[in-house]
Amino acid sequence: MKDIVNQLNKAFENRIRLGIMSILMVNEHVSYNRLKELLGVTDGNLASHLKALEKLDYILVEKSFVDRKPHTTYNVSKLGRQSFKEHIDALENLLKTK
Amino acid sequence: MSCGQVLIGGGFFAISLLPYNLECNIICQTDNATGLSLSPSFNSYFFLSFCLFFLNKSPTLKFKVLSIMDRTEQLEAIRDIRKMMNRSVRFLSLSGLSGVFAGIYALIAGFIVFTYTKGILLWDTYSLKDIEFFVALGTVTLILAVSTAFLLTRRKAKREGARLWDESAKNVLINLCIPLIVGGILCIALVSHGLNGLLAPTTLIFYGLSLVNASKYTFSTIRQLGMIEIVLGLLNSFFIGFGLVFWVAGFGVFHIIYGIYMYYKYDRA
Repeated sequence: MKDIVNQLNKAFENRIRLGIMSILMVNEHVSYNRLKELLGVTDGNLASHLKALEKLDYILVEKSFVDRKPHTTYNVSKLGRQSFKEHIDALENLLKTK
Repeated sequence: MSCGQVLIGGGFFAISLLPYNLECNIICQTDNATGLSLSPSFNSYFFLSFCLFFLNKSPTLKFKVLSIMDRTEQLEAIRDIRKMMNRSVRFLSLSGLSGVFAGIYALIAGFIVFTYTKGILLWDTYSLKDIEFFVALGTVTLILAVSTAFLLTRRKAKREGARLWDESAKNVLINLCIPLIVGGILCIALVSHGLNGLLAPTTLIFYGLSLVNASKYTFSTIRQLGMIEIVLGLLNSFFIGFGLVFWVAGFGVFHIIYGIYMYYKYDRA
C-alpha cells in the first residue's frame, strides 16, 4: 500500500497540472489560450504550472508568431507521457486496493 | 465497531486536542472529504482516547487515516482527468433537439414529395424537372435543419457557459464535411449520368460515413446513428426505387429517435 502511494508523482498532485497533462495527453497541440479557456485559470497561475512541467521536461513548448502576435503551443513529451501514465496507473492501483 | 467508526471518532476527539496539530488537520480533512457525518455519541467518545493512543503509537492506523483522504482526493483527481480529456476533445454542446427538428423537417419534406408524385414512390421514373424540384426541396430542408441545429446548439452552449466555436467544434465540422462533400460531388456525377435511382442510397451512405467520422469529436452516440444510416443506404442500393422510404426512415424517423434519446441523456442533466 505504501509503495503505491510512493509511486504517485508529486509533480501531478496539483489540480491544474493534472488538468494540463490530461488535455495534452489527448490533443496533439494545444495553444496557451485554449488551455486557459478549458481550465478556467488566470494567466499567472497557468504560466507558473506550465513552467514547472516544462522544467521537468514533461511538456514541450513551441513558440511562433501568428500575425506578429506570439503564439505558444504545448504538447506532451515522451517522458511526460510515460510519467503521467505511471501516475494514473498508481492512482488506479490505489483505488483498487481497498 | 467498524474501522470507519474508529476513524471518525478519532477525528472528533483530535479536534479538541490542539497539541496534536498535524493529526488533527489530517483527520478533519478526511471527514470533510468523505462527507461522513459525526455523531458525538458515548460510543465514539469511548473510542476517541483509544484512537488517539493508537494514532501516536501505531503508524498503520495513521496511514489508514491518510489513505481514506487520499482515496477521495484521488477519485476527484480521476474525475477531473476524465472531464478534461473529454472536454478538450469532444464538442459537447450539440443539442439533441436539433436531431428531432431535423427529423420532423425530413418527414414533412417526405410527405410533400409523396403528394407531389401522387403516391407513386416505388419506381424512379422522374424527369429532370422532378429532380430539380426534389433538389430545391432538399436544399430548403437542409438549410432549415442546419439553422435550427445551430440555434439550439448555441442555446445549449450559452446555458452551459461553454464557447460555441472552439477547437472541438471545428474538428466536428471538418470531419463531418469531408465525406459529405465527397458524397455530394458523387451525387452530381450520378445525376449527370442519369443514375437518379442511386441518389438516395448514396446520400444515406455518405451521410452515415460523415456521422461516423465526426463522432470521434462529439457524443459517441452519433456513431450508432451513422452506422444505421450506412446500413439503410446499402439496403437501398439493392432496392433502388424505394429511395423515399429509406430517406424518410434514415433522415426522418431515426433522427427523431436518436434526437430524443440524446436529449434525455445529455441535455437534461
